[in-house]
Amino acid sequence: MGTVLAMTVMRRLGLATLLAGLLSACTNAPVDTSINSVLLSSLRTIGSSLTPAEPQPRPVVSRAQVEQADVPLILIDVEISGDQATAIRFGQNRNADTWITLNGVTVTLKEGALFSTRGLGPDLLSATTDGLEQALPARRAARYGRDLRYIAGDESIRRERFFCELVPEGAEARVVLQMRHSTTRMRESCYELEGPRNFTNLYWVGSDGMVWDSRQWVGETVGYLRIQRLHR
Amino acid sequence: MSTGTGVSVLSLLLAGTAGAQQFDVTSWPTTSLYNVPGLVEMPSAFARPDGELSFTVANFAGMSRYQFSAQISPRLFGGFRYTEIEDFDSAGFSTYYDRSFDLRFTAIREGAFLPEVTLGLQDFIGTGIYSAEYLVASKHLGNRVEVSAGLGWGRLAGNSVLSGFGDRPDLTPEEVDEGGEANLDTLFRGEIGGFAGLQYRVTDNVVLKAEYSSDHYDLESETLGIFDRDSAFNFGATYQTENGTEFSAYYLYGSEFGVQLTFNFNPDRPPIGGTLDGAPFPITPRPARSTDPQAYATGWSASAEGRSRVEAQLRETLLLERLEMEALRLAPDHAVLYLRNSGYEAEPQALGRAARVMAATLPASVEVFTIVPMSAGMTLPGFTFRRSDLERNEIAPDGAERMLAAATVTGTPAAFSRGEGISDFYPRTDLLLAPYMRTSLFDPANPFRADVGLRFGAAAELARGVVVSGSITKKLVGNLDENDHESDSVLPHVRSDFPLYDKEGDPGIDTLQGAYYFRPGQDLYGRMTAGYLEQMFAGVSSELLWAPYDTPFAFGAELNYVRQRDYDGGLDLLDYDVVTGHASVYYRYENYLAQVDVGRYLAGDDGATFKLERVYGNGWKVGAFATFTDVSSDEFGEGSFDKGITLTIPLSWFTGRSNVNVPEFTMRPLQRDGGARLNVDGRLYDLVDHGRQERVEDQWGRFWR
Repeated sequence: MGTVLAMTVMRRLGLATLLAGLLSACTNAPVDTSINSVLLSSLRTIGSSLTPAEPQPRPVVSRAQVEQADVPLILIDVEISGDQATAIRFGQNRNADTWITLNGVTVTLKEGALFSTRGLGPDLLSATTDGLEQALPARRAARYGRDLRYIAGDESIRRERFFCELVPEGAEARVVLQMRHSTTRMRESCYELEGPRNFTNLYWVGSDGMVWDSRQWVGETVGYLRIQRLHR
Repeated sequence: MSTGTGVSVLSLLLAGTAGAQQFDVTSWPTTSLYNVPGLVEMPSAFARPDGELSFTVANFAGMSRYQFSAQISPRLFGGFRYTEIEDFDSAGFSTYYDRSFDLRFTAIREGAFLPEVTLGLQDFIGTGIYSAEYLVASKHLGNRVEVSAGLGWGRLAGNSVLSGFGDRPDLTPEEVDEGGEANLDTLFRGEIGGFAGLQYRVTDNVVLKAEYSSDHYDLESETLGIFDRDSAFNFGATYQTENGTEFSAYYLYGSEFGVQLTFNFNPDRPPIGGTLDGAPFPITPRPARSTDPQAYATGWSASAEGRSRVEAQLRETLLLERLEMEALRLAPDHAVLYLRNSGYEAEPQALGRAARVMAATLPASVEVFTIVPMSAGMTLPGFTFRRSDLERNEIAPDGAERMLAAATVTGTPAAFSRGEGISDFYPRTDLLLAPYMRTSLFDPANPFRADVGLRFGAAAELARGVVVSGSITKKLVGNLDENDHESDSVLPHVRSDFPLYDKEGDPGIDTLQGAYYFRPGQDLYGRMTAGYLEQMFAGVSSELLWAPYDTPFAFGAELNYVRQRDYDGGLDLLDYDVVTGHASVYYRYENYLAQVDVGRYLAGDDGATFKLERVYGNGWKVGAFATFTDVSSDEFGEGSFDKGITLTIPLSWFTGRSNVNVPEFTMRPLQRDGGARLNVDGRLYDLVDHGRQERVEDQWGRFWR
């Protein structure tokens, strides 16, 4: 069954390649905007989504590799899909760090708290972190409002308003990729002000305010991301 | 590192989108055999959510209905229906094909005590075999039960419970002929019937229905004997899936079984939430001027070498984002980028990505960025941002809103000089081999004819705004040439000889033309096109459009002199020539775009075209148009006047990845000679609309995307 499917897929990919040859645009323009490029990239997407990806070893990186690379590094897990990828720091704007994976997904964190995602599809356009970004490194309790923004299906900016409570839950030795950190576990519980949504984020914060591990809400479709700091 | 994330996230999102939105499709009104909210055959009063579209295929007693409808506004609903009735034997066809249009207006929305009340016109233009009007009230009783009751005229007056005003002639097979006239003189005339229905939601997905029908099917059942109507009661069951598909099965009129498949969808509910485009460049702010004054040095701009290094870096980095630099005006503190957007249907996304790249590559002393989008060589309204605003707002929760508020817009930016243009940008050539499809729909002899083939196109942009292009089509498979119908039109055969073009014009030259686009003045756009403009006409076309950035309206004028082309797709011309042209008004109001064109049409007839489109934020447009000219309905022939439906669909909606392909489709129930316009490529409104305020603000959320 699997083989038959794979063969069908191969045949289709062959057809796609043939079409690519036949329907290619010949242009001296640097960007191909033709409808063929859209059709072919769609065919490739369909083809590759039919091909089962090879199971990858987890975690996708070892402690030795991290130490050898010796650059700031995080590990992102998309819980709902089971995808895992490392990300390096791509940009720094005041207290916001933007991290990028090899395939072009970014997450932007402010003091470890998720501000935005890009490239996941139904991304988090932005999230307020006032209150959270002060209390989190200080490992103290706080209450604040949070606005999460998304681009809705009609392309408008949809804002979801939450009331949140951040509570320290005590000391915990947290192991992140074979490295033990003494942390305080912080629980952030958020409830939508005019709606049924709620989410609970968890952060494991070191004594210097570094968030070593976290599980943070992106939105309805993507669900939660787990973000671990592998290297300072 | 994982590289599989993109693909598996995609499949995840495809699977998960139903849950992504707050819509609960299964609590919506179910759809009747007539593709309106309703029971089995009888309508209910409920309106669908705003902007919802649906396709329905239904069949019973040898009658098949293919239908499309749109909830145009929260209260207004429109539908088109194409019906195939076997064994009809009217007017010499053994199978009869009928086209009809519906309109519904929901006058009262359901409240705690009030029912929802809707006034409906069924088949109000056309041959009128389904012609009926109704006033129906519907109410939910608890969560699971819906009741409806209504009064009907015309077809729905079969049981004539009341006598109404005026007369309504009985429908006879002989009368089913011309069609196309609005049946205004018979609306709400004649006897009045009564109908009622009850439906019960057994589970979230399953609905059972029972109704008492006031449609006696006199014509079909008694006169033509298509089926026996033994009972007034119809029964049915509908299964609704989470993403809006309905499967229905019915037992009708005591003698027939029926089946129905309905797809409900909404452009505002894309299959892929958000966009799968890779992440944009982050903005890394410049060091403070006080701490690092050296970084702000402007020495780079003194030398040609320094400037060209900056220019090359910007140009190459923009290409990574599928953006092209057409020109750059560079001062120590101000950069003006003339941008060709080759990647994004949403203009704000191109603006935001270009601004990010400018912040990533330009020297720190450049504080002001102006981005002028280019469309066919014309400057669109330009946006000026302060770099410090970009640095601040990239990480502000309301950063997109703030950037819009802080942007300065120039409606008619100055053109760039020769020296500022990228020297090797022009000429650029483009050869393209792409599939094409040409259709001829709703012909009574064969309602679906189509050719599929290859189009070979070549285009050269010789200079800014100067495009020479041509295309040849070669059919691979199709049956368009099987149409032996000879046009009986009394008007000049400007369109109705299409079977001759289809038969003789393969392979054929589709277009071979030169076009010049320019900006003749403040808020003005211009176009001149000459050559073989379309399959059937060659000549000269000129157009002028006045479209300021921030007005909801725009005015256009078009003047063409064209001569009819020979049928064989070659370069020869026939004798018929005409001066045709229109004055146009475009008006955008909230989610609607109205267009009125007044002028002379190809057959020399004078009149006006009215078009109304529902505009969705993501670029979808669903519209309908009708043309009324001084050609009488007799002269026009079947259909009485030109009318149709248009669909504009951004392909990125399906793929989730941005691109600039937004094809537009026009469907006409009939193509005749009256009210026909020239099909010239590159009309101005579509070229500039996406750069104007309404469209830009529709999608401004994508600025930081």
